Amino acid sequence: MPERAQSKAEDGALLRIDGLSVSVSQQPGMLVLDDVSFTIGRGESVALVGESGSGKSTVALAVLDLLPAPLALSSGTITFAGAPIVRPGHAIPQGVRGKRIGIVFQDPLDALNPTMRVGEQVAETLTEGAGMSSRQARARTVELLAEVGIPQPRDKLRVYPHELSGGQRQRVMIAIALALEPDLLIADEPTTALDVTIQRQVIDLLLRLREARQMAMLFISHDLPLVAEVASRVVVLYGGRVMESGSVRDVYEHPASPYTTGLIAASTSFDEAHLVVGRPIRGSAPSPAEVIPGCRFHPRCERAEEVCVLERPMPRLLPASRFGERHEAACHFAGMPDRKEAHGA
Amino acid sequence: MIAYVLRRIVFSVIVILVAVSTIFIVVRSLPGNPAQLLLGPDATPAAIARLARQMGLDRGIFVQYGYFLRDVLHLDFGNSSQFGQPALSIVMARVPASLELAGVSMTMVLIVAFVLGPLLAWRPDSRLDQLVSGALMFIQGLPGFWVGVILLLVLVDNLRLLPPGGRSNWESFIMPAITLGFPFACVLARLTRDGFVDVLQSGYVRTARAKGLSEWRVLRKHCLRNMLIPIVTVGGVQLGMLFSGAAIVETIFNWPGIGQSLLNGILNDDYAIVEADIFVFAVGFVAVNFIVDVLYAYIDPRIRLGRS
Amino acid sequence: MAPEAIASDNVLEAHNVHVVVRDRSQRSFLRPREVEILAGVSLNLGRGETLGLLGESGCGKTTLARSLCGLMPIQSGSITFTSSLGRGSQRPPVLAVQMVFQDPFGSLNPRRRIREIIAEGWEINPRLVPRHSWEDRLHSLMRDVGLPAEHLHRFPAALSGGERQRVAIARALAVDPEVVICDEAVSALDASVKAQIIELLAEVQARTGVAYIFISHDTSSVRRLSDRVAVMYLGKIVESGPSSSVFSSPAHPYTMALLAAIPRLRPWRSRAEQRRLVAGEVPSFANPPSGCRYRTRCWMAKEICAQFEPPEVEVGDGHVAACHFATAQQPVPANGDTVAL
Repeated sequence: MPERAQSKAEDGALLRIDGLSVSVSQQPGMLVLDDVSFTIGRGESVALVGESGSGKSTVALAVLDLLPAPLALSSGTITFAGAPIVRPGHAIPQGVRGKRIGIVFQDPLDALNPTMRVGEQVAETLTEGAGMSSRQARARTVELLAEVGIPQPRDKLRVYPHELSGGQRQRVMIAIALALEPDLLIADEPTTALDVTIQRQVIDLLLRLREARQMAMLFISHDLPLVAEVASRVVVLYGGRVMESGSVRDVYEHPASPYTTGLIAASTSFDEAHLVVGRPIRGSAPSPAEVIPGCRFHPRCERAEEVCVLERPMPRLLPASRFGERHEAACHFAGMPDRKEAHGA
Repeated sequence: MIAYVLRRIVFSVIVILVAVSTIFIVVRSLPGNPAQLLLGPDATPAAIARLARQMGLDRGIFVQYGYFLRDVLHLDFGNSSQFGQPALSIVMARVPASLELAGVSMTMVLIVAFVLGPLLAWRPDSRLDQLVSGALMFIQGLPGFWVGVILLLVLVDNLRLLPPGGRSNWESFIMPAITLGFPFACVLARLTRDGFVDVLQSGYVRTARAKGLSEWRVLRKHCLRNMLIPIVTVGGVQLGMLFSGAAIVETIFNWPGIGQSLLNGILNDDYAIVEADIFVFAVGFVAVNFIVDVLYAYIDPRIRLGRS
Repeated sequence: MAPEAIASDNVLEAHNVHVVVRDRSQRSFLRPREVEILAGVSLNLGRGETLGLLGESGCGKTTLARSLCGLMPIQSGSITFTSSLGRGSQRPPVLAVQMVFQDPFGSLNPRRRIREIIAEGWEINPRLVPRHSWEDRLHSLMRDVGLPAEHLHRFPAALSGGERQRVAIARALAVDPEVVICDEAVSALDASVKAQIIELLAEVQARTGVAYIFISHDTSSVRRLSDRVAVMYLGKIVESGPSSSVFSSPAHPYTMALLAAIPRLRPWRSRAEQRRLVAGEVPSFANPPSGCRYRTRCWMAKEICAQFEPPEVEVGDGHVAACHFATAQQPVPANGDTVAL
């Protein structure tokens, strides 16, 4: 892995995902991800949203070359600080995982080793990745645990994961992910398994830490309001394809694809002391095995017409982006006035 | 941990008590005078009467039970009707042979399991994996005595490679150990394979890799301990069974262990030996299980600390 | 649960229920300690209505569900079920309260076919439905829950999570219950499936008049389905009342915090506001805080909160909250400001 990039990045992008396609090995037609592209700049917070089954977690795993057995990268490149880190047929270079890119997974009980003490799980990152001695690593672990808001961190070193609450476990995961001071943090549904009040605490923690370290973040979630509080740009994924992308304000105020509109109408939020309960989209997300011609969303789309079945929509740039970011949507009718009012919420 | 160990000890004692009581019930249920059974067909009426009084046969059943327990506590099972010596010392003298056989057999089982297990887990559900797993299942089902006899026929009679039986040089261990251990090896190999596959696909291994740890460190620190849990559990019970369940194998190969002495005792109506043998089996099995339970709790903190 | 001869508007009533469990992880050595989970819970369920029970993990809602069903013994207090059928009904009262569980993968016996799973209640209580009617009833139940009849001879493994929950609902309905307790019945499902199941539940209620106790930690599901709602914290009900009232004018700080924790869809539209965070973690049942149990995490806690348990204050029509600072007819002001969350 080359040194901290001084000048390599062409346009300042920290992470660039280009045409990423992931399929099931032995079944090249079954695409879990289909030509996914987007970038994350230094210090930027970008969200990847979609229903479950949209492939969003697969993106996270692909970035770190952690795709589990039947899944494999079929095409595309991922570049970090100007240098390629993920390409078909190549393993991820040393020094990226943990050191440049950290990751927090969804279920901390599953993600932590049940038979290893919590302190050691944090410390080994430091001894292996930063060459610290065990004593230094232990001291730094206590600092990290305090930083993520764990009370009495010194006492928690010898504790096992199942002895902690869900919120505390997730804080430990965050401490592990940040131990080596990566430039990019991937958070894959980090609060989905937590109660809403604990979720709020953990999200606030993530935002604070990001601010303090000037770190870029890829925040993956199915919860649109949560994303609005966390990210400045959003990429909407459906059936393995990018449906829309742009700044959060543009996309939420002027959604250009019916899917995004549906997602917005489906969200539950608490706006201005008012609980707004969402109305989910009819039907459910397709599995990678389902072959759907044209636009993958057309069977559930209220605006679908013949062209949607015949031709796969490519991303169109919307002219009226107001907040400095490109606003694109992969819909044949993107940017055209609604015939039906589909704005909910 | 201490509380856990103490609880385990209490349970172990209870199990031994139940086993011993079963011996009591069984012998009392047999037709005939228990004292006579114990002393054998050659005993004099006077000796029988004396033993009968000692056992409390003239008193109620609970008194008899009391006397029985007292005798067990003194490790007194009476004298063997075949050999005239105290039954327990005869049986205990045979324990080393059985332990050796169990030890060698277990070693073989572990080697097979730890070689085949990871190998098959490397590419799970591949052709090789399916073939070998299927073969293991088939082999596991073969009857032990049949395998033993086949081995004897082929390796001793036909090929004259190995000694015919009895415990002598290191070569004499081979056939009995294989015959005794092969079904356990099959089970443990499949279990190891499953354990490896589970662990390699687990969330915490993924986290370990995502942290940037070397593959070696991931295997050593994260996989090993968790893979051991099912292996220790089952392997431990198997060890107990290897020690206690070798009666048929010992007989086929004329191995001077406690299994052989049990069968001989049964065939020769030597009830003292039978009682002593069963007692040694029970204690041995319970002891091994106890050690395994403690080991298991040491490896998996969730067991000793309880779920929160 | 004893059926009463006196007609009551409530089909299920719980008065001051206390439930205690053995907790082995607390102080072992041969004597596990007893820990109180429910510390005096009272609630009423009217005929044909849906009572939502909103609470986060560790509040005791599952224990409450089990007690209401008769699956768990109670130490003191009472749970009364009043059947709408008169005396002389053949049906044993225990059948009248059924439960749908959270885990669609664990609550169905994987070795039995769907038809056996649903008909099990009839097998055990043969007087309920005569054998010759089984086939018809099975088909009509499958229709009611929106599943194709072909699934009847399949095994659970062949069905998706949402389909399995439909089977669980069919199973509960098979014995004509008057109350169905849904214990996090939709929590393990995807968002779209969740909505479908909630719709199904509403449909079934409209058709059969069955009453629900809908337990969930998810505010939106509770809001969608419930007529009345009770908010639970650490073994006690801290607020209850009509859904519309509780959600629009929460009177207990915990309810307020629950709602405030829900993110805003368009945060840039309103001014950045001081959101009340819930501090710290849920205390353990073994060691609950003195006085008001919520005080260790409450931003308004004062001396009185540690000394006295808060009284139940009526803050609206049928809307009560257990807080020292809740005033009648008015939601709680925070340090003199009006509640602008």
